[in-house]
Parts: sequence; C-alpha cells; structure tokens
Amino acid sequence: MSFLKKLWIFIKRGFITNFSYRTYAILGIASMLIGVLRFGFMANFLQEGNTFPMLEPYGGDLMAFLITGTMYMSYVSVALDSFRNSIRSEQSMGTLEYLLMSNTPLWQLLIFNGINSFIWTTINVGVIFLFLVLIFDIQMTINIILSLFILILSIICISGIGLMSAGVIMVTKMGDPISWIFSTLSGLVSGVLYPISILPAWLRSFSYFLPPTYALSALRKSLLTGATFMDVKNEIIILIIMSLLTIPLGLLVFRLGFNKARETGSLIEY
Amino acid sequence: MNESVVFDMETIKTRNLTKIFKVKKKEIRAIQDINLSIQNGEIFVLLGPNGAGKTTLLKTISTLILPTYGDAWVNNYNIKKDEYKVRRSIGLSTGFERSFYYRLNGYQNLEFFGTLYGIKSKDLKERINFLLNLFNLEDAKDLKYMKYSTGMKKKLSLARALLHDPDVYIFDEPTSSIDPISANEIRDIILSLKNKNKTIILSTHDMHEAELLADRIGILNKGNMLAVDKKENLKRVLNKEIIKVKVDKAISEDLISQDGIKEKINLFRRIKDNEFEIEVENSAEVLDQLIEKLKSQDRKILTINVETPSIEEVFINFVRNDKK
Repeated sequence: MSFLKKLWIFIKRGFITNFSYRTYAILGIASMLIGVLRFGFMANFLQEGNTFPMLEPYGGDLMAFLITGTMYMSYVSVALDSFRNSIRSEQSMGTLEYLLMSNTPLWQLLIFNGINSFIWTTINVGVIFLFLVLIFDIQMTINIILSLFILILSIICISGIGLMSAGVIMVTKMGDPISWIFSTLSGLVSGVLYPISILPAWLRSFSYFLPPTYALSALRKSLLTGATFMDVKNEIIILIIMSLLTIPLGLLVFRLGFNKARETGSLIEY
Repeated sequence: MNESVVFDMETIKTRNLTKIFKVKKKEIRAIQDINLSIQNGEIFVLLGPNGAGKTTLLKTISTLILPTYGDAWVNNYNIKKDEYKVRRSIGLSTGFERSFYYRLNGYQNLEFFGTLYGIKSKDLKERINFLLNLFNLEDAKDLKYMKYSTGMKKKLSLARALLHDPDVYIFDEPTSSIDPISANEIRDIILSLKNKNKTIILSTHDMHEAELLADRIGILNKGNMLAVDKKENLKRVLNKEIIKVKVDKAISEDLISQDGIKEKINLFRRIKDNEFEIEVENSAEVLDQLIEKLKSQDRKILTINVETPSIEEVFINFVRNDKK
C-alpha cells in the first residue's frame, strides 16, 4: 500500500510539473508526431507497387514496420535513460539527498521515476499511434495482452542496463559509455528500421546480444499479425533469460556507483 | 578527544569517525578521529571556520557520506549497517536553497516528502497544516516554491525535517542568510524541540545563536575537534573575565593600578572619563580590592558588572591557537 502511495505521489508530481510546462509538452508531442509522419509518408512512397518479402513475418506492411520500430525505441529510451536522467535531475534540483533521507530505498525511487516516464511515453505514443492509424489506415491485428506483456518484459530487461548506466553516471556525473554503446548498437542492428536479415553476417551477430532485437520481433508479430504466445515463445524466453542477467548486474553496478558517490561525498554533484 | 559516555542516554555517538577525500592523489582529511557523545534532549552546536568539516561530519552521521574509518550510531543504529533506520531517526535540513521541486507549491512539496516518509494521508494533511502554521507559511502554501524568498525556503526545509517527528534533528546553518525576525522564530522552534526531548545537532557561524541555543559546543577546525564542552567551561579555558565599572568622577589608570591589584590586571581599557573595564583571570580575586581601592579614592561606584568572554572570543582563541 505504501509502495502504491509513493508511486502515486511521484505520478502526481510528474503531472503537476509537466502541466506547468504545457508548451514544452505540446511541442514534444508535435515533434515526435512530425518525425513519425515522415516515416509514414516515406513508407507510403516506397510501398506503392512494391512488396517486401523480408517483412512478411511481420505482416508485410512497411509503414507499420517503421512506425512500430520508431515507437518502440521511445520505450527503449525510457528503460535506458529514465534512471540516469532522474538521478541527474534530482541532483540538479538538490533533492536527491532528501529523497534518500525519506527512508525510501533508492531503487524504489528509480522505479517510481521510471514508471512515471513510462506513463508519459505511453500517453505520447498512444496519441501519436492513434493519429497515425487513422491517417494512414494501417491494417493491424493486435494481440493487446501479449503486446503489453512483451513491451513490459523488454522494458524490465533493458532497465537492467539502465541501472548500470545510472550507476556509472553517479561516478562520472556526465557521459556513460554503457548507454551510448547500447542505444547506438540497438538503433543500428536490432531491426528498428529494417529487418536484421538485411545486415551482413558479422554485423548481424551483434544483434543477437541485444534485447530490442527479440522484443521488436515479438512485438511486431503480436501487434501486426495477432501472434499468440506460442508464436513468440522463443523471443520471450530469451528476454526472460536476458532479464535474469541484466537486472542483478544492473543492481550491482548501481549499488557500487551509489556507494562510490557516498565514499567521495559527491552524491549531489552533477 | 575522548569523553565519558553515558550509554543509556546518548542518542548520537561517534567513534574515531574519519573521512578522507582523495583529490588528484592528494589526501584531504575532512574529519579526523571524531569522538562525540550527544545526549538525549541535548542541543549540540558545531562551530568551525569554512571548510572545517562541519557539513562532512553532519552528512556522515546522516549516512549520506561513507566514513573512511571509524563508526557512528544514531538512536543505537549503526550508520553503516542500519542506514535506513538511521535515516528514519533523523530530520535533516542542510543549508542549500535548492532542495525542493520548483514547480510544486509549498504544500505539495511537503505532501510529496511526507508521503515518502510513509505518513498516512489524513495525518499528513494535519501535520503539514500544523507545520505551515508553526513556520508562518500558511499564506504561502499555494505559492510555487520558485517564488519563495530565502527565509521561506529555509523554513520549508526545516518544516520538512519535522514532518515525520523524528528523535534527532540535524540542521546545517539553519538561520544563515535570513532576516533576524525569521531567525528568531526558527531558534524558538529549535528550543521547543529540545523541550520535547528531541536531540539536535546544528552547525552555525552565528555566535549569538550558539550562545543562545547550545547545551554543549564542539569546535571543529581542519577536520579536528578542538574542544567539546559546555559554554561555561569553554569560556573558563580562556582564563579571562572583564570587570566593567562606572563611577561618579573621572578616574585614571594610575589610581587603580597600584600595588596589590596591579599584578592581577591583564588589561585596562578606558571607555569614558568615569568608565573603564579591566581584564583579569579571576574576578573574585580582584573585586573586593578594586571596590576598596575606588572607595579610598573617593569614587562612588554607579555600576559594576563582571562579564565572561563571548563564545566568539572562545572560538577565535581555539582556532588561532590551532593554526599556531
């Protein structure tokens, strides 16, 4: 109960803060919408009179492929960056020490911030997704429960890497290689804008180590072809195994970073 | 510095608490071998020049900085092993203005932190209203924090420290940079906490504040605790008392600096023709002789006062001697 109350107060704080920056919020959604619209029009242009056999496992629709890839990357950013960003934000506001003194474990504070970011991303993505579906008449056969399950599972999995990133940022204060390598590689080889089968074999081998590769594959199948759990069970099993590795490792790196910051007396430095 | 310890009464205890920062391979001893024993219901005032290690000591006790070696306990909870219990026992207010959410108003900020403390909604509402009233912030409760003045920010920070009604309060310069009226209000609240048997450790540069609030004072310099004692005892260390005298007629130094008393006077200072002060080690040894001397010189004493040195003098004396 206490956990939920604390979560609620974080969400409330997020709403009050975000609504006080209305112009920023609206422009953010507009920018994202325009960015996705570009992909939409480009996909329309490329789709005209063409077929894409490599996209057949995902329904064959280029626009749906691109949009799901782009939207999903918003969630990757949430999982990867929200912990690190929340640490930096609390440091710059001078509130981090007081959050710790409130006797709420830091990992809980990070989860609250993460869920808050997830909610805002979902609002943004939801608005844009609905808008695009209406404009471009995208044909979808959605398995909603499975899609949500895959989305949340992949966020949990990538959150482990986000925790590592937050642990590193507590020491370096700015710039962490973990997040940079992960997001750059994910954008390049995990099938965000093109299927991984198009990649040269040596490059493709990197994609097998990245959770977004499996998440995108499973998510597209469940969102665009109505796939069942059994259709995507391999991807789900791999994501679970990856989560079992990333989460404990993330917690460990984060704890080390946190203690290092307490050791150097630099908790509030940024 | 070692002190005798009364184990059943002490709320804060440190043993050889040391923090060494490494900056570019150079070791900086922020605090060194600090041994303190602060009793239940005591106001312990920490004095020290800038960079003496006051904030490091307070943050180490609060678990926000890990000690290099040594240990500390708050409410019998160890700062390394029971960090969550230590934090729950403490209400902290540091001197930083930036410690709230700028876009939230005063009430919302307290509601946010109060919820994290795990205070029940109904109790929290009552508690926030009580504290806003206590700190004269009720009219500003709907005002966004970014619109708060420095004094209001300080008060809100103290109100947050009081939210969960802890046993121990750690205040880092609670009245710095604020107007005298607000500062007095805050001092009154700190004294009222003591009356509720709360333990308070605070740092300040305001010697008047130290004099007013402290049960005991600790003087910290370059990370070392130079002295810990009651104000009266610290003043005695200086071996100095000032006798201020006002008589009905003009008087010269020669008239009182005569045999029998001369050697006991360290310093004579004339204030007016008929007013002077003398500095002695022990006023009791001088007072009778001085009165007799003045009478014999046909001077009628209008006022005579004995003053002990101020805490400021004590502080300066300790720090200067440490530099030597």
